[in-house]
Amino acid sequence: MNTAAIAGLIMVIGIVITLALGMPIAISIGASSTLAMLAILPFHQSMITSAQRVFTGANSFALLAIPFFILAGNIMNNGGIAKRLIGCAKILAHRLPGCLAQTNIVANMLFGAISGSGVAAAAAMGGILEPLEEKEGYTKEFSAAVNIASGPTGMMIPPSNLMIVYSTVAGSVSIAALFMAGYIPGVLWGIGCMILVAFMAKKRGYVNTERYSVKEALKTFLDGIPSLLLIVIVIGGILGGVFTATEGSAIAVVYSLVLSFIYRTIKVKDLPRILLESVKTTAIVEFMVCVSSIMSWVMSFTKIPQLIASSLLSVSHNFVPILLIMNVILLIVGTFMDPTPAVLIFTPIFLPICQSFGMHPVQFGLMIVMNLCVGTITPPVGAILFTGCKIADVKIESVIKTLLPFFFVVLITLLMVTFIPDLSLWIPKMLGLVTV
Amino acid sequence: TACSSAPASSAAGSGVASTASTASAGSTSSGKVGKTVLKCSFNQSNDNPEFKAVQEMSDKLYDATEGRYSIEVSPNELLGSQKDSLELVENGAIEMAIIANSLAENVNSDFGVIGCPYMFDTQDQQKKLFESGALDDLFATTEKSGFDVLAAYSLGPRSIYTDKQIKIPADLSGEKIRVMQSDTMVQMLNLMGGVGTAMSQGDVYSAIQAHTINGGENNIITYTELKHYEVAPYYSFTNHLMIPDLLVINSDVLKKMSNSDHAAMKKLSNESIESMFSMADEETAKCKKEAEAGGAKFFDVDITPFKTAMKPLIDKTANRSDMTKKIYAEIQKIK
Amino acid sequence: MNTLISIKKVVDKVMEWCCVIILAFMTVLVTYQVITRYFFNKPSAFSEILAQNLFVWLVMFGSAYVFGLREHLAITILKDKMSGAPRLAVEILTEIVIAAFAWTVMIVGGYGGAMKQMTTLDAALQIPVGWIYSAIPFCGIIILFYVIYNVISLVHQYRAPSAEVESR
Ligand code: NA
Ligand code: NA
Repeated sequence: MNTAAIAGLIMVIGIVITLALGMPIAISIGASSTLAMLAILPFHQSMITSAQRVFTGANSFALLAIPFFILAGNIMNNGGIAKRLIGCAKILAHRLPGCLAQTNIVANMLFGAISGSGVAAAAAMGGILEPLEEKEGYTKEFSAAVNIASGPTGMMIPPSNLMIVYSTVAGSVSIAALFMAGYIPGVLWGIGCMILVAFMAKKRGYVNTERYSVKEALKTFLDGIPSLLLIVIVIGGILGGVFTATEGSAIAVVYSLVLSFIYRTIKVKDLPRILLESVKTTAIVEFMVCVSSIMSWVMSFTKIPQLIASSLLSVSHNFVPILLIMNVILLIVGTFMDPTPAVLIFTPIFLPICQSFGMHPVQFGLMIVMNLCVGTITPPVGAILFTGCKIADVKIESVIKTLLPFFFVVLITLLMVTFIPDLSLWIPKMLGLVTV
Repeated sequence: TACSSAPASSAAGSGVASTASTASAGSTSSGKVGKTVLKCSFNQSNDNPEFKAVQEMSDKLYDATEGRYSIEVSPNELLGSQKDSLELVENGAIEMAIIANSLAENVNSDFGVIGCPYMFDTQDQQKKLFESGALDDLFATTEKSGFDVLAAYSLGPRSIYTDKQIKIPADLSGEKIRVMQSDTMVQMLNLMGGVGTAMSQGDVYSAIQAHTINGGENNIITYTELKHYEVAPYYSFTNHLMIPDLLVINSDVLKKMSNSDHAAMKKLSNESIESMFSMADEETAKCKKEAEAGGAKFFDVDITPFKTAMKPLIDKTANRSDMTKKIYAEIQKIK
Repeated sequence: MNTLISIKKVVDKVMEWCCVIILAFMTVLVTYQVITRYFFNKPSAFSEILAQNLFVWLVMFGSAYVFGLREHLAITILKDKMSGAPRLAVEILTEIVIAAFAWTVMIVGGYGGAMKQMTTLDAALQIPVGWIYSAIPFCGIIILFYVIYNVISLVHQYRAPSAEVESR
């Protein structure tokens, strides 16, 4: 056996065993990759090289956006911004069957449009809306399922921390282009859920009781404008070249902080707690990025991606079955693994294959992110599934049945994103961010 | 051609930056594989003249050492950014790399003299210096950091491009021009009359489009590869900077070579300079045509006023040490 | 045990404040960068690089702290089904692997890397790159401390499951 195969084998076996034993994913990846490096380099050089990869993994200005978007999300969650976004969502959705559930979906998309993560959206919006839904006679399981199913839109609709991670691991892929590419798939995901909710609500007899006068609607909307403005400032600023994505994320922090001080929902003494919470979330994500950098180096050095690519290409020379195989693999991986490490592991392997078939790296980014987003709402391990159940105080087993039809809708959207390039590329193309 | 392919990211990524170009191509080494394969890390694509020059050198090395050595160039930052690659060479994790002169400058500031703005009037003067052997003493100084410099390359003079023609320094007044992220570069652009704006390369296109900045400065190859002519079509030949790239090798690897292999390595490295420069010339001409077809306009500039403005910086760099004084004198001789 | 707990509390507090201050400072720095470039036309090469290097420290300090809390992401389906001695064995094995990684990569490799970079200056900040690098070995040591603490409290808890030991 050659050294590449030995290194690859050590890495795969090491990761599988340590993951199964419940070790931290970061340690699983880091320790196994370093062990694999020992197959190709002497001890001291392996250690120095591994340490260097850890350093390089964190030493990136683009990744700096992640703590800022997390911090902004935490501030909004604590501040009065979440409440105002729900007000606006309700105006948009109150005439549809299952009004409150529809409001939940729109609110998840709106909150997602200013925070980088789907978990934050599901936690903030579900927490406020579900008590109201219960009063209207919705079952807990239904409210929770709707909140969970629409939670991942926050990871597709920009800004998105996962896209930032993808852009650094994929190389020269513009974050602005990826952000813009996320709008249509993210909104489609949300709309799919809304259509389904309309049918389900009718069947269940969840009718609307609320009516707005024009004056009330206008007042709620005006009250929400400063919060909605955050979307315009951050995304507009990034697109307009006023600032980079990282700078935009810092502006989002400052803006949401100022707004929360004005609304008097955050006090200065709350800040250390909010900052520390954000650092913890950041560190968990970023440490995985750091150690995955060891893994990707070993893979590059031993040319493992080329090895896998050629064996996958020997299965079929047609792109459609290859894409389907990739989707299935990613969906399975997503059921038990968090999206961040999965993006870090599978991008270097799958992206070159897709690019050799002429797929644009931006579309591939959307495809891989979306596949892994599905995993966040599936058992056994799903961050948004867990959060949504905890917030609604229901058991995972009891939500799954109500969640099933939503999976169906999401999978259809996923297939569309996989096979229709323009769903992801149309907006970036219009804005001149992508040349095809 | 290099001009129609996507450039590698200049930002330090997580190391697997665009594996794409090598996936279908498989191995990146062309022909002969020696008993010892020297891994050489490179940050740009395999269309780049520097890549081709080192790859060409590999086959010659194989022959000259009777199959004992060959070089395998890893493009697109696959093994890390230039900064990481230099560290990997220092530590012996890989054997060779092509790095920017500024990285060697961080180890020994005397390297600044061969990358100083307006140090050379023409590309040919720079090439003559690189081939002359006058830099051997300078190149040996990095040995204590664990690497030796084998050769210096350059992808061509860098000039300013913006949304209007630049004739004299006053034309640059108030113009925000993107420079590489170092204070020397900001200072250089300010001396030329503009406002130096440090920014990572990935943001430049959209920043010019949005008028956050007015333009940038680069060689024609990169200018065309990044399609910056679409947003800043006026390329004025200020020729202010000819940044050397250095081919480096781990010192222990070089020491372990037999005398004849060592000599062959040195000789072939020096010969690769000529072939690299001629390939870069061809590439530049090709890219210039492509840019012109895309609407770019090229203008000659009287560089004297710009050069005069740079005088304080040149003097400071040239008089930094005995080594720089000696090299500066050599450069004057070549002129 | 009680001394160990009080030492951990001090280490935790120090780490917490380091994290909070670094993130707050980074926010100010990046905001300052936008303001100087956009409103005052005075772009700064310094702020971006400084923020980026502080970020390395933030990630290292933050991850070390999270190792102390044992809150790094893991797939615990199998582990959750275990109890008693096998569970303890798996938990301790996990801590040993963490210690091995911290010792070899972060302390040995990180220290070696930092020393090599002591003579190399960061172009924008004009300080040795080794200083920035040293966050890795430093946090490796902190992680080692947390591992020792975690192992002792795991064993303690196993022997006296009812005792209130702060292990999570
Ligand atoms: Na989002
Ligand atoms: Na899952």
